[in-house]
Amino acid sequence: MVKLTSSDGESFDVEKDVAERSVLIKNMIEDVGDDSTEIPIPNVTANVLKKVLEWCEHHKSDPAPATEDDTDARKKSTDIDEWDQKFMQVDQEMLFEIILAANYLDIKALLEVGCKTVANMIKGKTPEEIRRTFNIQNDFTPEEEAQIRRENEWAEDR
Amino acid sequence: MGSMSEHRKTRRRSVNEKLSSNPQSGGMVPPTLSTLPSEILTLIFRFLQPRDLFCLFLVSRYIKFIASSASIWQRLTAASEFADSEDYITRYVLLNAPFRIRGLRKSQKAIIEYAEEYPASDRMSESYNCDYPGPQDEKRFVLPSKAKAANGNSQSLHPVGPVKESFNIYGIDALDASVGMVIGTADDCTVRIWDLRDSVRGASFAQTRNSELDAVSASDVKVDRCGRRLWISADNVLQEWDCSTLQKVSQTVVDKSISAVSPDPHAVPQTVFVATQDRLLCVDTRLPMSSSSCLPASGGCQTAAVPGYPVCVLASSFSPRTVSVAGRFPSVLTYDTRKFPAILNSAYSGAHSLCAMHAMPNGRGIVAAGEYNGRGTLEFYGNVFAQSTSWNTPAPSRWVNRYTASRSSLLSLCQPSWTSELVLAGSADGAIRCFDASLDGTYYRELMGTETGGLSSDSIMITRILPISDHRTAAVLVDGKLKVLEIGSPDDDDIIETEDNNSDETPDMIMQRQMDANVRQAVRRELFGMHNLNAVLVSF
Repeated sequence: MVKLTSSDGESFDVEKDVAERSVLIKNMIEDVGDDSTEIPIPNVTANVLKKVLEWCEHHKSDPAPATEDDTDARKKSTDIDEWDQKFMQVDQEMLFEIILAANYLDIKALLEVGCKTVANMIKGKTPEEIRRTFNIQNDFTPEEEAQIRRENEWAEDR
Repeated sequence: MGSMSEHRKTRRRSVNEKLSSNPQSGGMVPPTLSTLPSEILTLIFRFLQPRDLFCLFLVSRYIKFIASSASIWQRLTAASEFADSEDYITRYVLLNAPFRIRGLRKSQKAIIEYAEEYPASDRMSESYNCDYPGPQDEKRFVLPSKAKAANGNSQSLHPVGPVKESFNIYGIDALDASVGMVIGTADDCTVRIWDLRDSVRGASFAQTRNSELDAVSASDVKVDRCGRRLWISADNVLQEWDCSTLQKVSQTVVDKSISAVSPDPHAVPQTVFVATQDRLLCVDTRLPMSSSSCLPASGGCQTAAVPGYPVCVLASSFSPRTVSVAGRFPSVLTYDTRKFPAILNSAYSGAHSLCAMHAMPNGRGIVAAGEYNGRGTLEFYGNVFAQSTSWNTPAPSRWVNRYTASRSSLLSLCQPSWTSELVLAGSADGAIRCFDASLDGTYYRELMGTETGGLSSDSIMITRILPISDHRTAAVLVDGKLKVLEIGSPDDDDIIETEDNNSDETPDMIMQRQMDANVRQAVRRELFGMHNLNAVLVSF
């Protein structure tokens, strides 16, 4: 068992192979060489860490990620397995927190799932819909906007 | 699951309240899409297809910045649905985006023979410094042309071989005047497309060998108004090419050698006017015209008589349904395209040879350039699009500049769309001169040439000038070499300098450098204040 401490001081006892889904933690354990010490995770709050560990627990027996076949993975953008889809049904704030945590903890598969989820939220939307979905301020002047539209007009019916 | 996340949410809030030191989200501020670090946004956007990426361009500045980053687009090219697509322009755009997306229109379609591995920016500067195009570099830009091989067409697509671009270009035209894409034929029997903005690589990016055509005899190259069809004339053969696939569509044989062609901008899909000795033909390539025997005036061809040897034909979208022809006869003849062989107007010129014509906007008339008594002449004919009853009377509104136009014959003429008063004319002694076309054709200044001290040789022929409107540049055909004329406001230290890297063109390069220096000098002298034009001719 490994003891992880979140940024807000909460401790989690996790099986070693679950925790080692995170390359960061795995390296830390190797560096310390002692399983019993507490590992601080200063960048992740308890609620996010809990969520991340939940994912790690479910995926602990996954085979090691195959050598990256980027092109293949890219094409299957919509393909997120069912459990992960359910897992990612959280509010946007949490979704981004998970992505940031996965990035920090270096959990490639989780990061990918998170990114795919966001990509799927963008897909097929108009610029205005994207802005509304993610609460983004339109900082273009009307002239700039028209200019961008003109520049990309060839792509419109693709 | 829903209740769990609900639980987490409330808990999270309380956590945030008592502990405001979440470094990821910068304290109290929760992360949003636009506050995510760029590397994560890049990861997300990599899962998107071009259509969605283009939507992102319009969302916000930051999002656009990320969505147009090279790493996303490079990745797209390798695996996208367009990878095996015949839609070459999309592939080209994907390969080059976002650097070259600007200005590309749907109407531009072109074959791309770059390899998937688009050279990264460091790679680009590297190839810029070394001798490019070197044999190794050339190979990198060859796409497997398997799709083409199956085509069974008479023109097979030849990959860009490791040959130096030592060919001469015989004719060029702009695929679309607003974009720096130029198409043309060269004496190595190829039809090529160049991207003028790509002076780094400097090579044509697409080409097809035109095996049937003896390109040495090529006389004229014209693109239709939409940039879809290319017309090439050589000897007595007129070929129609599809600009998007660089494949020949049709071929028409006429009985005499063709001197000039001009597609009709009003007749859709395709009517083209062809000038031969003593004749002006209106050819409709949809109708079969397999042998020369069916001339005259049968099937897809109508003929009008011309009193001499025509050199240029002009059917412009500025001139309402007319076609004008001029050449080695002393008139500018205008025909009504709707009643084709009927002559509409004949304006007397008196010049010995008119080599180029350009229609002024709003149907104001035609500017023509050529030679009179061994010197250059620039002439304007108003009202030529109106019916004139008497033969060979001077047009009512007309000016002629035969004194200050040029010391030698003017060969090419253009009117950049960014100005309505200026015309640029290229001469047989290597000068590009600028004239005021609004009033009386006053010689204005020399952009390039002997007056600015650059070119001493009198053998340099400026045979074609194509203005590229969006960029204040022009493609110039100088002695069979394609060059780019950059026209800007005077800012002498900012002049873009690009030098030809062809190792075997050392004298040219020296000349180029001298020319650049001279232009800078000329700018400092501020020769003419009104338009403050200065120009640099860039070897391409």
